[in-house]
Amino acid sequence: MAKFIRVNMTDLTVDVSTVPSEYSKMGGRGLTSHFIFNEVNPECHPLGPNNKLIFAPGIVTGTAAPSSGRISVGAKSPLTGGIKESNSGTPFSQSLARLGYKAIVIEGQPENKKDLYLLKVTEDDAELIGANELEGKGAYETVTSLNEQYQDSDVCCIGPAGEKKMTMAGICFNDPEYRASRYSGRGGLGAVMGSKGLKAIVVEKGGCLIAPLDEDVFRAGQRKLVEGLRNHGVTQPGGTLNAFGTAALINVLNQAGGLPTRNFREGVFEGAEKISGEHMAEVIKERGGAGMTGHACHPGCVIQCSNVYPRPDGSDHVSCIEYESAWSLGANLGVDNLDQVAEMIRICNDVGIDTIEAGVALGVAMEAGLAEFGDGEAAIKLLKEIGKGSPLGHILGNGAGFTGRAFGVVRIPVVKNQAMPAYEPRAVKGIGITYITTPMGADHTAGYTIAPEILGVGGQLDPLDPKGKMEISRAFQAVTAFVDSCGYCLFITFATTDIPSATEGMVETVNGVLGTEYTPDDIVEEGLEILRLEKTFNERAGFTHKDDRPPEFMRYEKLPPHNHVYDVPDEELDEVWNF
Amino acid sequence: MVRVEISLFATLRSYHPQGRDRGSEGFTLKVESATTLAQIYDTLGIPPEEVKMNFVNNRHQSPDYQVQEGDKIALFPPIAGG
Repeated sequence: MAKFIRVNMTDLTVDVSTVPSEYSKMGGRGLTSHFIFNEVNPECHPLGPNNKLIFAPGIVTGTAAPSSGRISVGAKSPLTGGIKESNSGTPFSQSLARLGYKAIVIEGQPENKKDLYLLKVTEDDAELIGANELEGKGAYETVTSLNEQYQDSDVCCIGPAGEKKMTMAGICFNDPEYRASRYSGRGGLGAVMGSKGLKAIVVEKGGCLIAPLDEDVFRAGQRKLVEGLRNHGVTQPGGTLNAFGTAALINVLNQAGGLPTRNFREGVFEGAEKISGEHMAEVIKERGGAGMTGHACHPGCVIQCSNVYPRPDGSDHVSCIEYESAWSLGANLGVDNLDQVAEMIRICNDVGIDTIEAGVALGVAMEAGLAEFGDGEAAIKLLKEIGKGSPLGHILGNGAGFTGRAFGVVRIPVVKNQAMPAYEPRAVKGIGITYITTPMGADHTAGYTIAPEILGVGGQLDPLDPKGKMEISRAFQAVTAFVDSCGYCLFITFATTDIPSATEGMVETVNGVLGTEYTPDDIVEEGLEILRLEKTFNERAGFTHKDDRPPEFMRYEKLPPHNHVYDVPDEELDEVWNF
Repeated sequence: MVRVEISLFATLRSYHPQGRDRGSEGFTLKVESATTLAQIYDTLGIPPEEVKMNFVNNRHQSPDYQVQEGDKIALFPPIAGG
């Protein structure tokens, strides 16, 4: 039977027991959101003793299913004040699953708020160990030192931002080479971990591949899904995700007029080429050394869209430059120098903050006049303030919304106080519906309508036309909630959207593991059930339809080059939840 | 005749008329009026199945779009991400 770890940080006890039966068929986001719904008072302070933090590998994580090494982290978010699930691809998730753990729950809060602890998880047990020696350490040093101390283990930790309970703090996991680079970045979950006095978790590697209940069903599904991923133009070996990483989207969104530029003032960035995936791949090839494209965030990924970006001397600068980070710390700041962008991502990884929230907060700070747009060195200096914990660093470290209010800025691109990602809603109307209505706060991954609106995956829609987008956003949000529960990387959905047998394969792997009989038609209903819970939690936390609205400036400021405002009516936004 | 400006992206850069090394540079093409995007693929030696997205002046267009003087054309293979 799968196991469940409960760590009580108030009395510093750890309980390892059989997973409660109600959660036995769940995983990933389905599990974290059900758990938060069941056990966390929606009105609690997110950084107080009554919030709970839960880590859960996906349903198929730890099996031989392709690209399935995701871990979901859930809690009440200190950034949004609502429910949060943020997931990451990392060997940590596979190790936890293979040791037989369904979830780790962190609850309570130590009496002495200054003490830090580490949770050590082995096949049979888990224990809390004092870790005051790690106070103030960056994520790079923390992962490296814990990797030396606890060999053959995977690591999860927070950086200084999490310790200081800043609301842009994320939770870091190691990649296969023990870089501090894989993040459950969004929503301030690192601050929740910091509020519990938990600096790190180490999970012993070991255990073997999880044996499905029905091996034949699982194997058949696995084959179909692998075939779909290998035959789809986007995910195939040597395809654009593999060869250029997600940053290949920089030029696409720029051509679509939907690349938010200089704090969402424009939709086209003149320096896009210099921060693009194409340019990044060229630099990696030229500099050689540690640089590589086609890097995997966890073993068993067949897509391998990550990368290692080298310094001019070939040494490892950062992993990885992905689309969101290249945009948030590049185009959004008017910065077209990829080495400066790489340095900013490295700082974010080390301080332990979300690159999206950090980039948007810096954009708002530039709007306020703290630095000039385009001045990468000034942006690096501002970012360093967060790690230092200076008063300015605390303002920036609490996100784009907080920074905007601190400096009297009106153009603040947030929904539910969470920064918008790299797609301009005024140029791509459907993704705006997802940003505005998802219970998570502005989040592109919650319902990636960019696929049919821009990329021609699952159809080809006019991104500027709001008609019909509500239904698409809702359906994508539902499917995503299911995929996030499986532990699959969201990028498998490019293949599953276009190739019906790949969808069958995904569902069959789940059935093989759980012994269930889901059909592809059941996915949406399963996902809607998770969305209902999340929405209800938020309503109990005080959210109303007024929180499902775009930032006001997007209603009256026209975005060049298309010169559209955000014109999806309020009634249409509310209709997302009419199911 | 009309003149159009063309940019190639990602894997399509290997079809740049001056060679892959110049792939990131845009170039001007002179074509007969009413030439379609599909005919431009042909001129450049790009197999049509390799082109997934056409943007003309920041708007999506289909392969049968007839180009006009001064159009800024961007051609992409299948791309996705997050």
